Amino acid sequence: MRITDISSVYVKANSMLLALFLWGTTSVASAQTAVVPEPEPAQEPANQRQSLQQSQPPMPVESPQAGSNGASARAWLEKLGRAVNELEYSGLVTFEHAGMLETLQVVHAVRDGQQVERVRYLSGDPRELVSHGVTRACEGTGGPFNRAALLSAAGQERLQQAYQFVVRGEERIADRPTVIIEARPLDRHRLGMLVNLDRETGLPLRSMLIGPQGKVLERYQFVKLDLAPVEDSDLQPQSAAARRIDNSTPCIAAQSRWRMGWLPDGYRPVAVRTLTDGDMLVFSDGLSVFTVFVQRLGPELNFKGSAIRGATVAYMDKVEADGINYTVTVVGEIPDSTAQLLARAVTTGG
Amino acid sequence: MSHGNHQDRLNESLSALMDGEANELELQRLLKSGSAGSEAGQRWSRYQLAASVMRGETVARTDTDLAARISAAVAREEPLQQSASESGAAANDAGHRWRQMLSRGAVAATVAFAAILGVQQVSQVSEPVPTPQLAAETERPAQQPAVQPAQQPSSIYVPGPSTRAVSTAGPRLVPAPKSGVPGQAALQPQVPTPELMRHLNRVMIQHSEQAAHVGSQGMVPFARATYGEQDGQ
Repeated sequence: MRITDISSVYVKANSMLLALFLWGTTSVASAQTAVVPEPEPAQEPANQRQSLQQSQPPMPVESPQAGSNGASARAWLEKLGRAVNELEYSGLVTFEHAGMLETLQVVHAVRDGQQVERVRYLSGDPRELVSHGVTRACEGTGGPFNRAALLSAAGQERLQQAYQFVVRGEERIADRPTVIIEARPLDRHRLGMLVNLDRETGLPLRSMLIGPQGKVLERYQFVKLDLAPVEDSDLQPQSAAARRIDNSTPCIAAQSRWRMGWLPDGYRPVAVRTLTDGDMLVFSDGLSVFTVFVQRLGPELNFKGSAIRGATVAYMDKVEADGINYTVTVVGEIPDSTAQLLARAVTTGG
Repeated sequence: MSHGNHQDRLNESLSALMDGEANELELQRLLKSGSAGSEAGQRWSRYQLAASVMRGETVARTDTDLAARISAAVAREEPLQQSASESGAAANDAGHRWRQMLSRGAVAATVAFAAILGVQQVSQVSEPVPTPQLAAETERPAQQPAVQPAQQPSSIYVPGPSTRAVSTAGPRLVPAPKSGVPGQAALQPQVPTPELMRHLNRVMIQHSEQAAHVGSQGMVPFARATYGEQDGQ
């Protein structure tokens, strides 16, 4: 009798152990989705991404019918476009990429119709940037692809060709209710995006860039948001070493001899600039941006390959024209395979 | 020969894990082989150390003997105190025994779980290093002895990610494989010259500033642009 008692107890203990281990392995498996490349990433990126949202499963905001969801996503994108351009706000932000977590202070204001922005790193090396004059300067020349691309019907139309937008649910960020919008790329040449828009204003309170394998490459997230009108003093740099940039020059300001023999669908040239040692050409699909640098640089920069920092990739290659070697660097928040293809596609304009 | 192959595969898996790109099979392989004293365990530890050194971080103690210490800790785990008031009834005795067993098991399970999660975290956040082989290991072997960390009390576990809190702005480099000889790049890792790093930083900043113009990402590009900024640039 005692023996059977004990053995049954053993069985019980063992099964509980087993349960524990099972629990352990499943949690590990779910944690792993973020790390391990799926065999077929392109097939169902949505599921993977949802698994990245480990915190809470998003609640449906409305009936998940494709039509109404798409329309609602579009409305939210318009709201986003207005918010990032017109809203005055300040706040504290965490910026996470490549395993680094940094904290920043951001201030955004509109002065005389121009956007004035200040970013100051609160961790690591002191770094600060004040940008003046991001206006609609690109609107005339750059077509629908400017910072306000989301506001124009044509811009929206283009975006819809490159991404599928889905309203994913709701979540609280920085003590404010937000709506989660997913931008699912329709090809391999852009990254996915998950953006949490403030319900009230449409301001993105969190945005994540997601790689082809469902990995979060970069996360920008508000911890604290203040929507009170920004004082002029808040726009003054706080450190002497702060960098100031003036962005009020028109977008397509120069001609370049360089052309792209190939561009992924949806991307269009939005800016051309002349540098001291070469040209830079900027392309965008309305959401993602990449820049092609073609420069005459010394032989010490003879590197072929990619450099990756968070979501930003830089692919370096060479192109020869008239017997001269030029260094091509494609930089952008794009998959590195695309950057490589783009670097190879640089030619001189016929 | 077969041993050599196995070792090669292990090393590849290890590199993949460093890059956060190990698949499940590789992870299993590593876990299977990866007692801390094993070669793979030590190599992992060296990779982490080297990666930290390469990023110019102050290197904290790397845990070569985490697994050993977990085992020791579990073995040392005191059995549950028997409540003395209870009579020595047989049922109670058995009850106590399974409780004891369960608690030990639970400790082992949670510790193992934590250890696996730790690895997961590390691989997730580890700044990726050149894919084929860790460049730092061949590049700067001379530095390694210099940063051998001091012993630390065995009860403190310093998780890997904390050694990465201090950032360096430098991007990681992945040289393009030489055509035809895929493994070749691994043998000659590209040493990033200061000029190259400066160039990359510069183009990344210029790109981000333009992106702030044209994207719909709000101030995110500014965060990127400012991130790589360093003195004298």
